[in-house]
Amino acid sequence: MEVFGLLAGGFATALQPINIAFLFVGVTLGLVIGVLPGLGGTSGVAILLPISVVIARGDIAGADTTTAVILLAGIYWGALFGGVITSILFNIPGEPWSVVLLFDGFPLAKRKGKPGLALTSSFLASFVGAFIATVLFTLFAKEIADRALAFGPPELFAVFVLSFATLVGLGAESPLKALAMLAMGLLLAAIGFDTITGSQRLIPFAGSEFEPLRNIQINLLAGVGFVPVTIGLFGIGEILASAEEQGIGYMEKISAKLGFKDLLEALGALRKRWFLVVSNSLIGFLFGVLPGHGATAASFLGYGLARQYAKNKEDFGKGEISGIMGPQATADAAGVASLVPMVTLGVPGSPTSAVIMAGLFVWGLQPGPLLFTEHSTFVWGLIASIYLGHFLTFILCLLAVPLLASIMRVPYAIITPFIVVISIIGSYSLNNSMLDVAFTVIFGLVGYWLRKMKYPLAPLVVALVLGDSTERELRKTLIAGAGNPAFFFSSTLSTVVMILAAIVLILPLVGAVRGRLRRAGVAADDTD
Amino acid sequence: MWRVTGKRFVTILGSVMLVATACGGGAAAPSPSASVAASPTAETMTQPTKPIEFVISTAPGGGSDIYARAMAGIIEKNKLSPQPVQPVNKEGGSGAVAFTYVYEKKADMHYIMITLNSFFTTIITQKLPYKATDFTPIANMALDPFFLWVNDDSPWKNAGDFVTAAKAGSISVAGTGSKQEDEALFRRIEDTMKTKAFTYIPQTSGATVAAALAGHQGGVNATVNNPSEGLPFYQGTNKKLRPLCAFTPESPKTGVYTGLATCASQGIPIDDYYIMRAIVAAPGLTPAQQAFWVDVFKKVYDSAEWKKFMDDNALNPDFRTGIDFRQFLTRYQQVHQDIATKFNWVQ
Amino acid sequence: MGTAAAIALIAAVAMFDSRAAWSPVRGTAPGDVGASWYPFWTAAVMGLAAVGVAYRALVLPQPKAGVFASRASVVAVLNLVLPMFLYALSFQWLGFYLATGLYMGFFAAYLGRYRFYWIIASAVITPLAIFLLFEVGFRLLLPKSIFYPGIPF
Repeated sequence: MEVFGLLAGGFATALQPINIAFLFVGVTLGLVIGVLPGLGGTSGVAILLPISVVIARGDIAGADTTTAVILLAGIYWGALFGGVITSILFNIPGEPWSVVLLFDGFPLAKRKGKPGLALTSSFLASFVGAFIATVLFTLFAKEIADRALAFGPPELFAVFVLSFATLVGLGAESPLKALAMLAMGLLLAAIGFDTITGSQRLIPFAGSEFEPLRNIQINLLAGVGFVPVTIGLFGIGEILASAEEQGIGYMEKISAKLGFKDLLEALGALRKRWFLVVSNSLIGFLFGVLPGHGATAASFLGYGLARQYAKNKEDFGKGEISGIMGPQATADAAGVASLVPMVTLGVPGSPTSAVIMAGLFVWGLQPGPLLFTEHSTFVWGLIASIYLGHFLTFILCLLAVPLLASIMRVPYAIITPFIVVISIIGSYSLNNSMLDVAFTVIFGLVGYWLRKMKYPLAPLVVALVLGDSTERELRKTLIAGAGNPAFFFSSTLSTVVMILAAIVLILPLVGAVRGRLRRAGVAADDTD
Repeated sequence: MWRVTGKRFVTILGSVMLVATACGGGAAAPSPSASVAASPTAETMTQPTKPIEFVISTAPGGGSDIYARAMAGIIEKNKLSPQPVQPVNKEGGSGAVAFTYVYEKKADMHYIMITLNSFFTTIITQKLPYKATDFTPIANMALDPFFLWVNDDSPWKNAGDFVTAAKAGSISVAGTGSKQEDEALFRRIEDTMKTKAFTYIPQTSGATVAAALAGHQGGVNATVNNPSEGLPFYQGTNKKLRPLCAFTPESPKTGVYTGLATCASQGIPIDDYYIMRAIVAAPGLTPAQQAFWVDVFKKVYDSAEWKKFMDDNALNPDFRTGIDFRQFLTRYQQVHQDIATKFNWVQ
Repeated sequence: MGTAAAIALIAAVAMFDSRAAWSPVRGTAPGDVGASWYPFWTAAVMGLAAVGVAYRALVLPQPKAGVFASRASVVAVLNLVLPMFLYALSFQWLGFYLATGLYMGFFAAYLGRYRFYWIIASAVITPLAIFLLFEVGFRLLLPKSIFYPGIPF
């Protein structure tokens, strides 16, 4: 097949020493960026754009635009892997797409004392997800990207409804409390500037002339970012909760076994879940190709699906490995896939790929269909580097696991303020905004209190992350259909996904009602 | 909010020592520390003395972001500034966050910003407490023209067909954001040609606007994308979109769009509306400070890299500074004010 | 109970803020439900759920227990919360680096009761590492103290 010849050529390009060297630099930087909360793959790539210009211009012997894109994409791969490290060890999302790893990653590391296993599982899932996505990228990039264009508001809205449907009841002992949290997340997401009408929403004391308040209001127009809120709810909230639980000097016994055993255990877990990981990778790829939606939304859908398949739903949120592998495979596959529309159509699939695309512009390349024909070496060098980059990242991560896991044994009086410092710098560096720092501190207290009052935090976070896009697609659909609800079913695709979502929503209810009836029947029998 | 702009707090807290914060502080202190006085004060400095923040009002990867980073790269490569120029994204609120941030840095030459038409529309529709003309104007670096785009298989062959269809029934169109430049242009067409109201579906970025049209997402049938945004769908074997006409006084003379008819020649008399790619600085800079930045961006404009960049992205070269640029800003402010009033955009 | 009431209150405020959902002028396009529709109804759902939670708390028998297990746990939480507040507030005067150094040092001294050289190490290494990573490595500017540029941080 022609593809394999081109791919072999790509490997020849990517394996040149200079390209391998920059790939190594890229993924290492990406890992560091991924670990730091707030500083994300998007800004990491943006910061290195000027350097990439120098590289692309050929100032360094042997380097060219391919080297430059390998460096930038390498940062993305590193960040896709690295974000989970902070989630798992500190309960702070290192990257937007590792928010969902808070639900099960941290519990497995902390409550079950297996940080090594949690890390290794997520790295393994990342690797598999990325590998599957890269193979699909290699074989079907153009065809899939063309199909993805037809994915409009009604279809997207249907997918978001499906995501919500799979996540309903997450971590809920009380459905009413879960519902209140879900609505609170949606409400927080609605704060600020409404992109459809351009009006301001839920801005406190709008119209006030009081100067300091006006500054807060204008900053609020940008909306409440989910990263600062999640850092507060989970990171700070957890610190406060564990301080209360165990007082001073609370360190738990962290599993001492490190390294190889974790890998074997994670491989065993993967073998039991291969169907989940493969299917989630496929879904992640399809989701990632859609323009404008990246790994973050995909990771939530991945978590929801993992939970939906599972027989042991009640284990989710307490350190279930499926809750780590499922979303992580989806997120990484979506991350790789987000380069597909960028390369083939000139439409970025995610914020990070948007910055990489900016790089292409600055280097004088025009992203789009002509890249494949006019800059074939560039495209295939990039594709080959995705394989190599993920392999390299995976090895680096595995080697680092023992070191990372031992962080959890750092003394309390150092690690606690350190987590606070990381949280606060993380939320500041996201947008250089002090308001975000305030959100982190405030939601730290709110999260602590809600946790104490047994309100589940996961629904709030899910709604906050997905709320904006869901509302936007809903309203775009309504506008496009001039208010006619039939427009939601205007395509076969949206109809199918909507029906799926309805089934997912209704099935557990039917099951619950049946269970209750049966229990009632049993109880009645007993008393007779 | 707690972003404190220097002096007041310096005077209040100048002498608060490290320990004092823990006790709450609050002792009134006489003067800024001596070391600050040793460096030139804000008024007398004519050269930046610390890294410059180049504020971008869109997210990384957005239109402005690409332009700003290209310029920052040129400044860095040619050593045009004694201090590094660092792009900083302050996205959100359709630019309101970035504008306010720079506005608060009054008389500080270390804050410059790249702007586009949201600099007018957002300030007007969000009723922000300042005007675009309050900022220190530096230079316009290029004008990004609008084309009228339809699908390649669309029955409309020219602007006349489009207008006829738009008079017969409401056409679904897509554009970037709500009450921003794309919608402003569509509303102008609506107003000038007396068509039925367009069904305007706002998107999140220029690239997704083109994708929405290419995929007929939600029944979208036309856009007013910039040439660079439409390019990936126009070139190559897999052509999906084609431009009907350009909202410019003359047809493009070079590049892939050579010979594209002007909209005015096809009956839509709008040829004066562009996206500006302009640089402004914090309000209240001294003439010498303003001159420093004008000089830097003049050199950026004259560089071969910028020439190539404009060429690659089908931008109209258009360098304006001084009184010329000021008049341009005033005129655009008026254009947007008129549209906002006419279509009741300010609530 | 109190929490549920607070949530219901927030819901009420948000619903009031979004009362435009009932206004006949909706959005700019035909078919658009307008900006206020969505926040109004999510707030309504949140309020109803909170009322439900409060109702259950009133009706169902509750185990009698204080919110906090003991005085010690309150102290443990406040030990964390108060320095965190001071730390976040002090940025505007001390900048990130000075504030972080003081904060780390305070914990090492107060909670850790470490020897003075550990305290100094913790207070110096953390901000230094952040400085190297952010300002030197990624060229991201973090807020500086009011003494800047007299001292370089």
